[in-house]
Amino acid sequence: MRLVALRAAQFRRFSDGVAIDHISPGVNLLAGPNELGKSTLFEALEAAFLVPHGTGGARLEGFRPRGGGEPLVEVDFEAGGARWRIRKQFGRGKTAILTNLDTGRVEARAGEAEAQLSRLTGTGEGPGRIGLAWVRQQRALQAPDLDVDPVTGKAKTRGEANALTGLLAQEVVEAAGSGLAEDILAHARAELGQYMTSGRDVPKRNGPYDTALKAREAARSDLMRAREVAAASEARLVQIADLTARLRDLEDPLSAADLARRIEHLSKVIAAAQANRDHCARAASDLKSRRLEAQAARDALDKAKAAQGREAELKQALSAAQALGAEIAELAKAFNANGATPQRAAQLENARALFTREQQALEGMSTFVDIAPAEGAQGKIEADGAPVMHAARLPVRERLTLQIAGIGSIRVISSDAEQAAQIARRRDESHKIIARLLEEMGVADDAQACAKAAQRVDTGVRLDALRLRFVEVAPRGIAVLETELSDLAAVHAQCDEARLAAALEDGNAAVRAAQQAYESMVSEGVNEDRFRVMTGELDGARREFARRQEEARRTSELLERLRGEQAGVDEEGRAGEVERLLGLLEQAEEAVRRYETDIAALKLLIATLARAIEDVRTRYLEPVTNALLPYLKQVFPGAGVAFRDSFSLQALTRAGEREDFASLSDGTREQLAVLVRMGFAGLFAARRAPVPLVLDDPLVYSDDERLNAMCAALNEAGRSYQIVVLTCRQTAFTALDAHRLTLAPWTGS
Amino acid sequence: MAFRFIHTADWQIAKPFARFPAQLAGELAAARVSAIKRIAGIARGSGAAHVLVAGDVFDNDRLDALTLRRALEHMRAESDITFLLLPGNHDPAKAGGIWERLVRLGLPGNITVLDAARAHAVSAECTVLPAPLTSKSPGRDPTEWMADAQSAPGQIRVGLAHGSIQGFSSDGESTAPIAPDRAARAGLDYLALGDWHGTTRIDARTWYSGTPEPDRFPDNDPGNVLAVAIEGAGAPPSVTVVRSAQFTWIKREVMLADAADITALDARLSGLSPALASVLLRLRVSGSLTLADAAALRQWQESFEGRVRHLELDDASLSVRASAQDLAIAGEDGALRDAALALAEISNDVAHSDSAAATRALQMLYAFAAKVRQEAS
Repeated sequence: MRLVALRAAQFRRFSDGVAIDHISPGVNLLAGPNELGKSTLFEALEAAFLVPHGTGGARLEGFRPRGGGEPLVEVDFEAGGARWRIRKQFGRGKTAILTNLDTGRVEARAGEAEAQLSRLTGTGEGPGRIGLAWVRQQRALQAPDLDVDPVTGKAKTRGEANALTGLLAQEVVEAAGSGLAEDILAHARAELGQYMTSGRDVPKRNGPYDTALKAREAARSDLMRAREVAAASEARLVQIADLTARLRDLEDPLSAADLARRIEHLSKVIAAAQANRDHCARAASDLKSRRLEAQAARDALDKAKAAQGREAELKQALSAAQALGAEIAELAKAFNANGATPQRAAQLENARALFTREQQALEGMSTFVDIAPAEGAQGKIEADGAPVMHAARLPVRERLTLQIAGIGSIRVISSDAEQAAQIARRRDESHKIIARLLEEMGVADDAQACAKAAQRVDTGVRLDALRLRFVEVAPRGIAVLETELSDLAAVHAQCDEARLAAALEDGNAAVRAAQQAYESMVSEGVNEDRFRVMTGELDGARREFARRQEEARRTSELLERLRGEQAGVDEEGRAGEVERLLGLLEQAEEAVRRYETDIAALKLLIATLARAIEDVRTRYLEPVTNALLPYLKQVFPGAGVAFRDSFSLQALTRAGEREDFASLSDGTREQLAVLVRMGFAGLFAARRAPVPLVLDDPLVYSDDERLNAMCAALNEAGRSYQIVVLTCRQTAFTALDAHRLTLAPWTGS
Repeated sequence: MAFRFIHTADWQIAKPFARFPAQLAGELAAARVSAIKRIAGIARGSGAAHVLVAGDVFDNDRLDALTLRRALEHMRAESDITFLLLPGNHDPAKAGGIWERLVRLGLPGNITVLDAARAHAVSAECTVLPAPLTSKSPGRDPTEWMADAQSAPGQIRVGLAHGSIQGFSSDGESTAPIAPDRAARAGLDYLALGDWHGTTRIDARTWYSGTPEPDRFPDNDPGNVLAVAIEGAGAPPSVTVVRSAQFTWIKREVMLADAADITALDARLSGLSPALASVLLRLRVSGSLTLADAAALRQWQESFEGRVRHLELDDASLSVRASAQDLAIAGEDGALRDAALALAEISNDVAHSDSAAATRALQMLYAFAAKVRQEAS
């Protein structure tokens, strides 16, 4: 197919009709500013070929101009060796008319026109090959995948892959042939799917392989348990045999009797030894008593001897004490009879001194009366009642009454009378004291008193000396001496020294006898070490006896328990299952091996088939790649491309490096997308089913160099098939050797 | 008057056969117990009142009580026959072992357990000298004592032992080596041996009876008992081999090259035995078959399995090749042809680690292709 002319009226921004009347077979360029309506023209083109004239709803509304109107498109094109015109009126008066321009005949209308158009252009279940070659604005950046809605970018059946497959029918048939390989692959995958979880390569839960694996695991653990039971059983049997033998030993009547005899013998020997030990203890105690008794006898004899000496001593002391006592008594009497006690002597001396002083004081007084009795008149004058016998000077201390008999009395009153009276009284007092003391002392005067006092002191001294001696002789007095002496005498009277000495002799003999008895007893018995050894042996034998009994009891209990356990195991034959379980395990392992063999074979089959199918696909993708390569090398010299089996571009290979499409830069992606479309268009052209390549505002991200390279590629492609480039960048495509399209008004008729 | 007895051994009652399918295992195990009845019948037929079992009466010494009771009951039922049982290496006479348990369960009057190396008077004219094993591997000749064993003059002396004759090839299991000239040295009229499962004559007076019921695919002649008659002390024994087996175990190897070989194989195997249904067959195939022929072999196997009691087909040594004709199944399908060729190449390369898997994969491919074709038609 090749476009010749395009016209539109009442279509979106074209309220007025517009026409492109000469579209060349090679490269065409419609360059114009924004808002010129390039994309509207692209849509009008799509509307003519791909949208049924009866379309309605949003789609129809999308076609209508803003001011309203009924959209009309008309395209002249060449296809199948003829020139055609399709005219579609949308909305009110909707219709489609297909006219053969060569004959000028209307070939078909409405639905029939649509159907024939579809045949001519190779559209059908979708845009088909047109979809492969007509690239909308903004679509260029997306991967050039097939059967993708250009608006939403989602997968949509557009017949594009089918168009390619149809084109490559021969290769595809040769490759895929009958589809038998795919069928077998599906069978193999289904079969493997019974065993393995798809994708994760693990056994499918509860699938036969999984079940076999589990059965093998169960068989293994059963076998392990059975082996444990068997081993335990074996060990238990060995233990039972050992214990049975041991119990026989323990219960052996001969060895038990032996032990009993030994215990009896030891008991007897030890009892005898024990009796001897008791005798020894008694002899030792006897010896001790004898020794004490002998000691007592010795003490008594010593005491008697001591008492004898003491008695003599006491007697001597008593007589001395008695003599001293008499002397003391005598002296004491004299001493006591002597009134010139030192106290009195001192009082006397004191009183004498007072008296003298008072006398002198009285004599010192001024008032005196000298009396001189006339001869014969002695005594006639009485001074204070005392007859004056001779001349005397009389002091008047206070007053002095002179009585002269028959004459009267004269009272002399001293001015110191008072004082004198007092002194006088004191002198008299002293005098009286002196007199009393002298009297008491039994002396007439002071001299005597003094002598007597000295005598008394002398007696005292002698008395003290005697008393000292007395105390030496009889410190506790004569009475005590006498008592002691009388006691001793009593003792003495009782003690018979000879008898005591005999008793001591007897005691000593008893000690010797006891000593001998003890020593002989000791020599007869066993010594302490031996005794300890023997009692130790007896204890050991008794313990051994008890231990054997206890061990026999415990052994027979243990045996009973073990026999019971073994009987339980034997009853079920659990210990004998090892061989059977070994067989089961072998069976289980065989099953696993079988499945694993099958799984390995299936995997190999699947991998081999998948690879073969893939290789064949690669082979039928070859034409696509080959169609693309001439253009590719102009933009990306030395590069290669890889397609998936859905004809979608997978990667660009440069210098041996494989780059996923998605990882490429914007510019590279849009260039590749265009190149792939060019490849598709080239392939269609080469296979005599040409389709024009229509690019709406392409290569917006490309730098000048790449743009020029792309233009060169497009120029070359333009020699093989028709290309229409719509762009707003008038200078960008100067390198494009293109026929410039222009818009002309169109009336719609 | 001649002393007649049956010499048998290696009953191995309760052998599990667990690697066989459960039902077959059960039948094989049952056949070992029912052998008691068959042996008793043979004894009656040959005028013998005694069955001497030369060890391994039981497969192992820890069997369950029910199995033991069942065996005892089978013997008790043959009340006119006396069974003399000797402990072997599978059922040695140990403390707390199987023979003590049997005694506890209550031995029928017609069973004598010979668990001590002591002369045992069987009848007025015959003394049996048993050599019981007391452990799995005694490591000594248990028959040594027989030379010194006294018996009344004129008595027939029959030795009963379990072990391998020195110098005689065994399966290496026994460690009870028996002097080959024991019968002569111990003045035995007959030495009845057990342990070797095939019936074997060592000399005129020394025999292995073999097991009465085969228990493996044999290299020798199992499945018999010996009917022995001795006219008197010193007289040469008369030994008759009598078939006692219920199942026939057969091992065959065959090399296959094409479909014709398979047909021939079928004819040969069909004539193996009139009682194919009691045959257990192990068939080892080698050679090389095309995919189509391998599929035919598989088909033959499936049909023949129904005719014998058990068939084991070991095709580990069989190589399968994809012939041009086989590959025609791919038709015009390039991918399928490529895959089949790739697999055939790996399969033919025996050094390749996936060689076996590739062979199997080829067979699968072939089978799947047939199936797809069938579904399509």
